[in-house]
Amino acid sequence: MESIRNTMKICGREMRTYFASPVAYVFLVFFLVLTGFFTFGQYLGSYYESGEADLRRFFGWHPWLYLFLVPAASMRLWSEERRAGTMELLLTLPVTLNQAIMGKFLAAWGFLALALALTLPIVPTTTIMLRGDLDGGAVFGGYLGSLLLAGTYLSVGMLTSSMTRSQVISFVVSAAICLFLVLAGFPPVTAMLENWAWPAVIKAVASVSVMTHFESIQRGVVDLADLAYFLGVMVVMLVAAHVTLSGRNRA
Amino acid sequence: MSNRGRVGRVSGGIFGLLIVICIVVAVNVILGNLHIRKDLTEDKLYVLSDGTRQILTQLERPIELKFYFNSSERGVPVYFKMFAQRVQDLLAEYRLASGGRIQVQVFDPKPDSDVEDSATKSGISPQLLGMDGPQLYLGLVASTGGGQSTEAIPFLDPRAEELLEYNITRMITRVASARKPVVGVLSSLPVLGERRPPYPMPGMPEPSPAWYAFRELRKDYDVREVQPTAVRIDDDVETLIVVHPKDLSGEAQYAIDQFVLRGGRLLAFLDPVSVIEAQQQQQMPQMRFAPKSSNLDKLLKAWGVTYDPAKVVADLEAMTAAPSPGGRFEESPVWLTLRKKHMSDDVLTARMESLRMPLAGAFAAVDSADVKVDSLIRSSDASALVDAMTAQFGGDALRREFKGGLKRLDMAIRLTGKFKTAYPDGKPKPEEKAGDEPKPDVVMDNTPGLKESRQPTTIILVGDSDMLFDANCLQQLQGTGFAMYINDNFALFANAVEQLAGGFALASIRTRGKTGRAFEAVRDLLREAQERGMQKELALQEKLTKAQQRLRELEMKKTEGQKLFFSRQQQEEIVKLRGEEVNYKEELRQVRKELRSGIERLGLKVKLLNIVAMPLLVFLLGAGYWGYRRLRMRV
Repeated sequence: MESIRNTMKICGREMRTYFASPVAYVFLVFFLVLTGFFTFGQYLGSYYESGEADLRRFFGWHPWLYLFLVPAASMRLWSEERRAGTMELLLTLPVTLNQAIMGKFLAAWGFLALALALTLPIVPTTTIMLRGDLDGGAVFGGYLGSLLLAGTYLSVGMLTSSMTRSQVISFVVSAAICLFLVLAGFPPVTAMLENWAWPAVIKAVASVSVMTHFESIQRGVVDLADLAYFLGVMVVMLVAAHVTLSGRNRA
Repeated sequence: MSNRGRVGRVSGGIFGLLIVICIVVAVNVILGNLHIRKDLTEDKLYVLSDGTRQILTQLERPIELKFYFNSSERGVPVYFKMFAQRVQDLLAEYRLASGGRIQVQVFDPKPDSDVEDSATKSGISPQLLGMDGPQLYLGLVASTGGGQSTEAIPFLDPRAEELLEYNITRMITRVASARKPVVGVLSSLPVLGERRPPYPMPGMPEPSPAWYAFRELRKDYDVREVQPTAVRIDDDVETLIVVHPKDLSGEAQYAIDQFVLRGGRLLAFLDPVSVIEAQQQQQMPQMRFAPKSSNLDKLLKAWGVTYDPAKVVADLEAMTAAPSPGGRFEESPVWLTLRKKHMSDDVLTARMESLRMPLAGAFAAVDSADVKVDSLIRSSDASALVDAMTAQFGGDALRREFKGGLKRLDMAIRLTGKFKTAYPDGKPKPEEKAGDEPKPDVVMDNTPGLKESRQPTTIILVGDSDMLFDANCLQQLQGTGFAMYINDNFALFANAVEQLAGGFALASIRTRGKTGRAFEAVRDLLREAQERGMQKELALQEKLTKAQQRLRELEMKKTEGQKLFFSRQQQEEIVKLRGEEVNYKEELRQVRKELRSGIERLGLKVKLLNIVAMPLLVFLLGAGYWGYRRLRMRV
């Protein structure tokens, strides 16, 4: 279909710009070192010392690591175009705003998926070198959950970067929103709400939290409700980005 | 473009956004209540197990589950709220799987309400969280037949979440069964108490009372004594407990064999050395060397289990202070005090912290096509099977038994599945003892026996019988009738009986959410290192002892010869020996250091590979690609 081809064209264009600059490689190196360090580090994950073939010590860090890794990847998505003035150029191409948004989103998500895929060596390390029996379903769930998590944070970044010319502001605001998503279910936040909100509202706020849904998937159980959460947030954010961009560009 | 147009477009966009948000929220709420999910884990840890499903479909009468949780109470931590949510999710699954036979109601016992009253009446007691904390109601009540039969779990402990399904199903089983289950007890020890002799004579000792564990058993079960001379187990006995079966006749073993094949559940406590018998034999010198071990040899063979009644488990990481023949107390590796690390993740042993098993045997069995073997209690990696006689003498003789190498041994296992008979030729003929009169009026039972299991069943084998004795489970508090449990021995017994009495389905439920998958490579290294270390230590210890002996000999010679000084030769030898002593001690230290180094080296390799290798690869690729591009640009 025409629209899909256009979307993929934009996607390809974006991916090529990524790998043309050293920033992408630096990002990947950073990503891998950080996840490895947090997984194996002595006072952090201590995966080897734990003696257990459970990748929870690997995936458990992702909601926190992504907090600043993903906004860093997303901050230039639209801000760069606005700053460099290529926004108009982009929109004179025979593509709709929707296709442009999806194309950029898929490119960035694909890039993060690549980063995630590069962490796969931990699986043969565990099964072959250490001869630990990993639960295949749990590993699949972990990677799926992590991918969806990255996509969710990314969609937030898409929105913030579409709203501002400054990459720094985009980074800070998207990190803040993602932080809120993580902390929504945490005791300090709910305790604060408890004093002046109805229990139903508190429960609703807690269910907005990324953590419950992420933890549910990463243990190996795929519940449609969790998938709906991640996809739902992404849809809302991308639609909001569309609204922002279509409002702005006609100026 | 006019401003109005732009505002119109933006507000149209925002309106669209709001609609999208509403749709997304609605979808989420709907799906959140539907629980459409797929459990991908290998052990199916997060859905109802087959055992529960089976029990639910076999329910004859409807059962009501009432869940009490005071979520509206101020200050209830989110941790409990989330746990309560998971409990409700699980109860919803029970309802779905029962096809309507289970109804679930959720109650919020607000203070001074009728709900709170009915909760307390049903046995739900609130827990106080901290000194000023709120009272927390988190209990479950199961009832049937309009309240005729009620069972309750007063407080669902979030820390035991992995046992949640097992506990709920157990409660349902108890409430659903109309009568007390019948449990048979067969033993060569007086576990059910000795009978009073019909004509008590003065000076005769009082008949010993039933063991505490069995007195408690009578409270929940209909306990039937089965004589060791029995030729048949009654049909209404569905669970059989066998304790220390000594020299069972062929007929009795056949009876147990048929019992298992017809679907009966068996809990057998075998023992290579019954300490109780040993103590009794101390009183009667002529019985000193009588055998004190028990076995079910024919049956074990048919079930594929290896067990040597002449060997006990010696575990260097489970030592207890025990009386040694010299009268002193020394740390003995055969008087086992088992800790959490010795327990498997099975429902039976998951929450256990300590067990005492004096002089226990080990079982070896492997999974087969029809039978699955689970290890319940196992030794550490620093264990070996040692000769039972030697074990009783302790000390150096025992240390020498370790030369055979170290490994892990199982002291309690569970066999699940279908078994084959141990008597393919049918019922064995009754053994005739010399001098017996032939009994003409005994009717020979010639019905052909079962050759294999009619239905799958469960057998639990434990390698010690002394652990059930009062002194090994509890401590009587002076002057009162109260007893305090000193370990989990009784809990293990009670749980095992309950699980078996509850039927095959109940016994098949596993703990939820536990993994326990170890790095085998690391375990092997550890075991190897410990074995090498142990061998070296034994060798060095021997050399050290010899050197010290030699030194003493020299000392003795000096006294004999009435000389005040050593000869030059003797002095040289003393210096040499002292030097060797120091060397050996140093070598022992080195050996212990080496234990960890192999494991640390593997760890370093793994860490380097994962933290450095991949990033390095990416860096090189990136640098390569970038360099390549710059080269092309030059051209």
